[in-house]
Formats: sequence, structure tokens, C-alpha cells
Amino acid sequence: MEIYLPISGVEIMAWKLILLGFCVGVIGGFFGVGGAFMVTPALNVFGFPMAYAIGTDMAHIAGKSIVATAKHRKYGNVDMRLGLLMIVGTAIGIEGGANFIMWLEKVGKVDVVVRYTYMVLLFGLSSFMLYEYFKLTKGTSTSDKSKPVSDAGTSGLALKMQSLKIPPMIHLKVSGFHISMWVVLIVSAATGFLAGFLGVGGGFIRMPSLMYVIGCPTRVAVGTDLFEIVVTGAYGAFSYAMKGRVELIAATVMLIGAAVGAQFGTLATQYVKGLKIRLYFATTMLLAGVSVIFKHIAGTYKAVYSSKLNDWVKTNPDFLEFAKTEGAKVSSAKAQVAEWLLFHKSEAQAWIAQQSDVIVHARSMEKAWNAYAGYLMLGAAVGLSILIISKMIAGIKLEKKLLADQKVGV
Amino acid sequence: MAVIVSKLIPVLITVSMLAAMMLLMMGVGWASGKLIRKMFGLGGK
Repeated sequence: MEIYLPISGVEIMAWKLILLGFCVGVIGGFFGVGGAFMVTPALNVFGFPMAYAIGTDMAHIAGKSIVATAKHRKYGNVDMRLGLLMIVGTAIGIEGGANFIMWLEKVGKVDVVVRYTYMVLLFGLSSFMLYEYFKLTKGTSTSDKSKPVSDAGTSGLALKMQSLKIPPMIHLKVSGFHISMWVVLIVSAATGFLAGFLGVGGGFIRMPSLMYVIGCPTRVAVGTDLFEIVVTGAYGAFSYAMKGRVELIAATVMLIGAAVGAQFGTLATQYVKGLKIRLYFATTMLLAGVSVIFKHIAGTYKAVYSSKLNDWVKTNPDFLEFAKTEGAKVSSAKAQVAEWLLFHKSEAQAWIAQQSDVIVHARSMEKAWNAYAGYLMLGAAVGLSILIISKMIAGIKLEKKLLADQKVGV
Repeated sequence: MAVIVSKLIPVLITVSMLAAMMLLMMGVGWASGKLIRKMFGLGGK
């Protein structure tokens, strides 16, 4: 069934949106992330215009996180005190990150710096988490693998952070330790800074920070991060909706899948060991890093023609009119051009078609590499959600078997 | 007064539409959660 999206004016198959929502719902509920790094490129692969993909994704993230957080709270995985403090620090950090981006824009190095930071962060985090996983499981014999492996506060850094006695000290009942309020505020401000700087929600940075720097148990890190995403996602959804960038029909259809998927993902955290959650999370980050490399390759092809295209846009009468009216709200001239191009894709495509073969080829290669990035994330979303659900089913079966054995023993 | 109302109306419409969407999703989430637990024979929470 195809549905017509009135704001962006495109038609899209409903099952694709439901499936994407479901898969990202499972992953979000399981890892405690919004999943924008998967949804936005996948929506783009489905033919969803980028101008609306981010806003629609934001509305979907907010809704999905409410469902997943409610469920995690029932399981006792949400540390409200920690979450509320993190929100304050994150807000301060995001503001700093956004200002840093504006400074980089002035220097003219923003794209390269953001992309490389993103890659270093994704590969760095995944490598560290994989190293931690193999370090902690090393020496565990096959027979021991059914036993739970310690996973709370394992990092030396977390223990050091918890030992800093800078008042006021707060007791985090759900996480099970005392920590200085300043540590929480500084860590959340740092993750917020990175999120604001990279222009992402930041769940994938916060979740490992909660585990490795603050020392939360894996499940509490997942639940608390989701609680924070509810607040940031709701603000983002409102902000994008006010700008007319949210396709409410698409977001609602996706949310139907996500609401169901989040139930599976959240339930799975009860049946999969904390260390396994870390392993899957690290793998996801690794795949996201590869997708950013694909996007980087696409960016190098774009560089072939972007300056020429920008010059053409700047002399276009329609753009000049836009720059005087709506575009005036946008800070820099570069951002104005990007904003105009988002809504004038057909004009830009017509201009490219008239250019030299080199430019036409560069454009087609750029599109191809962007599509590879989208398909990789789509494949990862489907594959991971199948893996998570199968592990959950195996966990439920094992629990039932153990219960049955206990009854026989009694 | 008219200026305030004209600025407030889009905000209120946006907030109520988003809120309605979220409520619908909470309903879907709750119902599917019940169904999943029943499907796998899980009790309690």
C-alpha cells in the first residue's frame, strides 16, 4: 500500500516505513539510542527527501523513546535522578557544540572536521568496547559462559570518577553508588558538546559514557539514556514541526512499527547479558563508522562540483529572493545555499545535467555511495533486530527450562 | 493580543498533534506489550 505524504509531496510504501520503524524500535529499546544514524539514511534510500527525513525521524524517535522508557522504568532500569541531571549538562553542552560549529563554519573547515571526528568517535568507541568485551570474557571457560559475567562499574575510569569526593555528592539509588554531581554534569556537558557539534542526538555517545565513565550497569545506562532521549527528542520534534519539516503521516506509520519493536527490544534487555548488549552495540557502531566512510567517499565526489554549484545558486534570482526573506533567518551564506538546495533539488539536477561529463559522473557516484551507506544501515537494522529477537526467544526458552528443572528438583 | 494569539495558535496545534501522536503510540505500545507477553507466556511485568 502506497501512502501519499502531503508535506513533501512524495508517495512511499507503508510497509517499508513500518518495517524500518520496527527494526529501529527493537534496536532503540535494546541499546537505548534514538537510532537517527540508521533512520535518516534509510529514509533517504526509500526516496524520502532529506529536508523532511531528519524532522520526521526526530518525531519518531521521541514517540518510540516514550514507549521504551515506560517499559524500562517498569523493569527498574531508569535512574531518574541521574537522567534529570544529565539533561541539564547535555543542554549546556549542546549549546557549546552548536557555537563551536558556527566558529568552524567561519573558518571554513566544518565538513571535514565533523566527518573525521564522527569517524574517530565511532571507530574509537567500538574498538574500545570490543576490547573491553574480549578482555572481560577472556579466560571464561565454555561451561562458565552460562553464568552472568560482572558488568557494572567494571572500568577503572568509572571507579576513579566515583571516588572523587567533590561536594555535593549524590546517591544514585537505581545505579547503586554515590558520585559527585559535578562529575555527572561535566560528563553530560561533554557528551552534549559532541552531540551538538556533530548535529546528532548523541545516544550512541551517552550510553557508553554512562557505562564506562560514570559506571552504570548496562541496563540502567540503556534505560536512563532513553529517558533523556524522550526530552531531547520531544524538543527536537517540536522544533522541526514548527518549521514544517515533520511528515506527521510518515512519522505515525513508522511509530506503529517502532512502538511494537521497542517492546521487543526492551524485553530483550532482560534476557540478554549486559556484556552481550555491549558487544552488539560495539558492532553497530562499527557498521555506522563504515557507513560514515561511504558518506565521506560520496563527499569527495561532491567536492568536484560543489563550489561551481554554489556559485550558480548564489546568482539564481529565486535564491536571491529567498536570501532576503526566509533565508535571512539562517546564519551563514553557506547554510542559506544548503537550505535553498534542500527544496530545489530538481533545479539543481537540471543544472548538473547541463554540465561536463566529469561533473555528471561525480554526481552519479555521489548518489551511489550515499545509497550504499543507506543500504548498509538498512541491512544492519534488519540483521540486528533479527539477532536481538532470536537471542530474546532463546533467553525466554532457557529461563522456562530452568524454572521447569527447579520444579522437578523440588 | 491578536499578535500573541496568532503566534500561539501554531504552537498549540503543533503540540496537540504531536501529543495525540505520542498518546496513540503509547496505546499501541501498551497493547503490543501485552500481546507479546501473552505470546511468549510471560507473566508479571
